[in-house]
Amino acid sequence: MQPALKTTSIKQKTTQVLGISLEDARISKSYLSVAFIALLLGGLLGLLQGLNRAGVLQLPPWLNYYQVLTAHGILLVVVLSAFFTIGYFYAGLSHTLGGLLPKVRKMAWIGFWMKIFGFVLVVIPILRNEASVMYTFYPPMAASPMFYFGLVFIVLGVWMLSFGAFTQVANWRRNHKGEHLPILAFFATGVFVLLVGATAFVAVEVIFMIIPWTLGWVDGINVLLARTLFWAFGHTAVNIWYLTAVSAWYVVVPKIIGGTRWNDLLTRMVVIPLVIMNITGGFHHQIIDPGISESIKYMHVFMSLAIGFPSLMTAYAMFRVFERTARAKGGKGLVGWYKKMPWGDVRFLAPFIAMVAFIPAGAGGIVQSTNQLDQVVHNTMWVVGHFHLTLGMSVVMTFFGISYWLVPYLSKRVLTPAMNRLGVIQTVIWTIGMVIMAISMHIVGLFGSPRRTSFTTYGDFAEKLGWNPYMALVGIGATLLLLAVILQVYAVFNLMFFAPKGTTEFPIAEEEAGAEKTPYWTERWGIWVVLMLLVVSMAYVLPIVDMILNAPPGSPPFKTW
Amino acid sequence: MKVSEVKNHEDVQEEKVTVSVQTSKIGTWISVGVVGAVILATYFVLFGLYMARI
Amino acid sequence: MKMHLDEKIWLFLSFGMIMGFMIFTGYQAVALGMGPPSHKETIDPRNVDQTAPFDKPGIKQIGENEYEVVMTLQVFSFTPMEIEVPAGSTVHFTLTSKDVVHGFQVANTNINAMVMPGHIQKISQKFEEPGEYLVLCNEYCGAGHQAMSTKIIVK
Repeated sequence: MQPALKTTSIKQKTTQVLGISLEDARISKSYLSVAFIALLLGGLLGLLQGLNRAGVLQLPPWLNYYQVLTAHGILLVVVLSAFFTIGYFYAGLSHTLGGLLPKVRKMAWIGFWMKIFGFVLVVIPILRNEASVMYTFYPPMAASPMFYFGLVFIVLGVWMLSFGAFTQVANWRRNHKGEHLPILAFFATGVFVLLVGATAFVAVEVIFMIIPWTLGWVDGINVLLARTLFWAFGHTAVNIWYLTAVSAWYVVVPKIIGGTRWNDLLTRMVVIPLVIMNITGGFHHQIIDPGISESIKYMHVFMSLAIGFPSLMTAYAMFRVFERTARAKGGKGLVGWYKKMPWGDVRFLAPFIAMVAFIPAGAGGIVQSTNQLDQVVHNTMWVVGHFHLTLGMSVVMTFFGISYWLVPYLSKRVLTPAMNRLGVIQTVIWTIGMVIMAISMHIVGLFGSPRRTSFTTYGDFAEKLGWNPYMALVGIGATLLLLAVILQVYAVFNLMFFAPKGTTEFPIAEEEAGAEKTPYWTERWGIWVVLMLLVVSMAYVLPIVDMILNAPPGSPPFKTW
Repeated sequence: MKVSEVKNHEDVQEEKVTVSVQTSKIGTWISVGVVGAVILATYFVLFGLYMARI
Repeated sequence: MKMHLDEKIWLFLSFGMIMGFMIFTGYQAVALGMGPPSHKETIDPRNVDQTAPFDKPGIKQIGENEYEVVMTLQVFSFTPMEIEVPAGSTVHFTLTSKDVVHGFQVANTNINAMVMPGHIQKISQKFEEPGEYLVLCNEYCGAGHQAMSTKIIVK
């Protein structure tokens, strides 16, 4: 490893010493700005929904519940997460790989405008109430064709960015033969490989099935196949956001608490299976669908649960890093060492709470995917509670924590103690809001309250089944969350444009002293991609062939809203 | 990433002893124990409801 | 590979527990026929009303304490609407959709199934306790989705 230090390019060193170049910073700042504007709008719409379901707000006909819900889902699950992920990893690639190549920068901008253009095409029909189909857009509900064209541009933008990242990584590897990709770039590679893999499915669904059908070129669509392709994308997408958060847990958080990184090989061994096995997880969204045999579903239960394995490794790794670091600082007792953690530092507090939230979130995910147990909660509010824990806490709170150092790093400003305090307050409010909301959602889901349903009493059933108090709590949670959103968005733009000038570090933890050298086989991305394709074919070829061969006559498009 | 190896040569010796041998792992076990317990509890909630509703 | 023994123990125990859950539900599914609703018959979604058995939706007694309900789901209703069965009866539902994807859920039971156009779905449930059960659509199906409900009366 000694020669490696010498071959490190001068450019790479200057980036690490002088900070990010203005051009690279502009790319990431643009992505983060879009992400946090989406958070503001999405949060506002979330409040409208929460209040509606609590029964205190009647939405006007020109902005109905399902319109709001469609926009809320797209803004937060597609725009916020994707734009943040890209902004964060492009900054990470720039920082760890010696600045972005000029052509990669160009690709990042082309991708940015393609995504924005696609997003505008998606939003127009939603505003005109021509696309209240949710972000899952299950056929045979058919939105205006413009909506689907917008999705195509978003996917093309994602591909452009992925290939930009691959170009950057390939270039680095060419110039650093025999070296391991820096860990953050390793995570980024995994994320962009998955993004291409996942969006390929939805691209096939939209381009080859839905668009010809909404334009009237074919008169029927295979509903089950479309759903299956969607979930191969949909579940992977949320796992990609999760993997992005996990990268910060392994790479950034140990540095912030003043410790060292978890074993490098084991870290890479978490990324690799998450890449190989992820896409097949989508099937567990279809456990109670007709037209898929029980044996196929059971095989997929295993494939979904297998994704839990790397997360169990992560749980161990994180606690071990915390305990190791805290005890090195003189922490004592069975759990008393937790007192040594930097609780007052928002850059630690937010991702830590995010990790804790993943304990019930992951547990819920595991159990609800366990074959027929899905019947207890499928499409109930339980599921909504589940993904507000996974996305709304584990992913998004990690993103918030990242923003308190990433934004000043990009803008060459500093996080002041006052802003840190605001961040801590923001984190606490968000946590309280989300905990109230997620717990109520889980409970009321067990009582049978359905997801994606505007306020309704079902005669006197809502009362009889005891839903109402929990729905009121959902409204209260949503209110607190909007407050936290406003503080967060304020913090981001303050750190981007107004905070005092200065240097902020990109925190990347070092390996433990005396750590063993990681074997080189972890870098064989070709093999990982081939394995991923093999697992995907194992999982999908048989059921998809079955769905095509035994397809019912196709369904015509419906506009039911 | 190996900068630390060069820089903190003394620390290496020290940490090898303290970190890998003496540091207690009890806190980690308690913490992952909580993870396991939460998974188990969640399972029993859903499984219990499923069986009760048969 | 450098993995400490105690990490291996943790992974063995925790993943083993999850596999245990899976194997147990698998046993219930295969040996006791409790698997999730997965019926594989198809139907022409444009001719549901003309295709047996959906040409005559309704409830039919097929044995002592056993009923079959043939039901169509369409925006935003169930056909037939209210169903009445005596306590202790097992009801076998045969379902399909005449338009978009719907969900068939009965609160406080394990009935929860996706009902899709072109596919026939089947699910059964024994109703022990007398009372009224809420039937609702749990898949967003359009502007009146929140109104799509009915009830099962168990006497």
